[in-house]
Amino acid sequence: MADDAALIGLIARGDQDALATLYERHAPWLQVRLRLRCADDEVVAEALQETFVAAWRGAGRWRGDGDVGAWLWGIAIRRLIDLLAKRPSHRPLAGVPDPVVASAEEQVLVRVEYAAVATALNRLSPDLIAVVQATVLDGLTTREAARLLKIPQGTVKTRMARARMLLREALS
Amino acid sequence: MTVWHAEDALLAAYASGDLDHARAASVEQHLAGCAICRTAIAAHADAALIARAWTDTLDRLDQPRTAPFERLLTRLGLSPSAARLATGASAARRAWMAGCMLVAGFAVVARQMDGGMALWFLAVAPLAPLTGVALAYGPGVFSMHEVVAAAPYPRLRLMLLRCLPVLPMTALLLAVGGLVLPGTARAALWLLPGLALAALGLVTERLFGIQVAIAGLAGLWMGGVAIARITTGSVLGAFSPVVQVLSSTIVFGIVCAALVGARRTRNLW
Repeated sequence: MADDAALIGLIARGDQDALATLYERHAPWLQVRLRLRCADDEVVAEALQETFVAAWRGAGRWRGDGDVGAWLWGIAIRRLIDLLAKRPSHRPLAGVPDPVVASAEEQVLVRVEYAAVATALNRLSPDLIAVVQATVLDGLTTREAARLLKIPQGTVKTRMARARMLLREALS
Repeated sequence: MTVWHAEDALLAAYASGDLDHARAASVEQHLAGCAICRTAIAAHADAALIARAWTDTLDRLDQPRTAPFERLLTRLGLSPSAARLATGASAARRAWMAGCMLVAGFAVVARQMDGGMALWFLAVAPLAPLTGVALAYGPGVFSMHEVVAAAPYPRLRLMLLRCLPVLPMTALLLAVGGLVLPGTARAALWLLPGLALAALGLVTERLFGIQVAIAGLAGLWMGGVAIARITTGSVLGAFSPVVQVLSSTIVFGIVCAALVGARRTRNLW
C-alpha cells in the first residue's frame, strides 16, 4: 500500500485512482472535523469537494515535507472559510458543546498537566475558545481567523492575548 | 509514534460534538498524526455526504480549467458557454498580442523620428483590431471554428462575443499610443475607424470568408489613406470628422443589429 506522499506523487502525474485512494483515506476525518466547524452539510460537502479538486491540481506543488493530512486540512479549512464568507447568514461556531463528565480516556489522552489545562480551556468564554480553536488548533493566521469568525483582526489579537493570559494563570 | 489509539466511544463522542473543548482538541491533535484512528473514525462520518462530494469532485476534474478572462466575463454576467466562446482562441490571441506589442513599439519609434512616422502609425493602427479578430477566430487558427460554424447560434451575437477580447487590447493600444505620441487626442483618432473595420470584418467574413474579407478591408483602408494623402496632402485626411462619424455609425449599426438579433433568440443567451 502506497503511503500518502507516494500518492501525492502519483496524483501529480494525473493518476485518478491515487486520488480515489487519498480520498478514501482522508475524506472521513476531514468531513467530521469540518462538520464540527460548520453545521451546514451542503457547505461541508462543497468544502470537501473543493479540497480534493485543489489537491488534484496542486499536487505538483507539494514540496514533499510535512504530513499530507495536515496539508489537506490546511486546504480544507481555508476552502471552508471562503465558502462561509460567501454566506452572510452564517453565524460562526454558534454551538458550544456541553462539557460531559470526564471519563478515563482523558487521563490517557494528554497526561501532562491535563487537568489544569483542560479545566482552564473549558472555562474560557465561547468568544475566546473560538479564537483559540481557529488560531492554535486549526493553524489559521490572524487574518483568516478574523474572516472565519467575522470579527476584526484586532479583536482576534486581543482575545488571543486574553485567552493566553487566562491559561497561563491557570497553569501557574 | 504513539501506541495508544482512541477508543471507538471516544471517536463517536468527538464526531457527534459531545466532547468538551479540551478533549475535542486532544482527539484532533491525535487524529492529525495517527492514520489508524483516521481510518477508525470513518465509521462515524457521514458516508452519504462523502460519496456525494466524491461524485462532485470527479465532475469537477473532468471540467477544463477556466481562463482568468473567461472567469471575468462570467462574473460580468455572461453565461459560462458564451464566455467560453468568446475566449476560446487564447493561443491565437497571444500571437495577436505580440502583434499589438509590435505596433506599440512602432509607435515608440515613431516618436523618436518626426511627425511623419507618427502619421504612418495612425495609418496602420486601425488595422490592428481588424487583424486581431481575423487572427483570433479564422479557420485553421481558431480551434473551435468548425464547431461554431455548425452550431445553431445567432451569428451577430457571436460577433459581439468575438469583439470582447479585442476591445481591452484595443484600449491598451490606445493608451500606449496616447502616451508616446505627441498630442494624445491624435492617438485617439484611429480608434473609431479601427473598431468600424473590425465590425465590418466580422460581417463580411460570412460573405467572403475570413481571408478575403480581411485582406479586402485592409486594402480598402490603405487605399483610402493613400487617396486622402494625395487629395488633402496629409494622412490625417483619412481621420477627418466625416470618417469618424461614418465609423461610429457603422459600429453603432452593427452593435444594434447584434442586440436585436440576440433579443429575438433570447433563449440562447
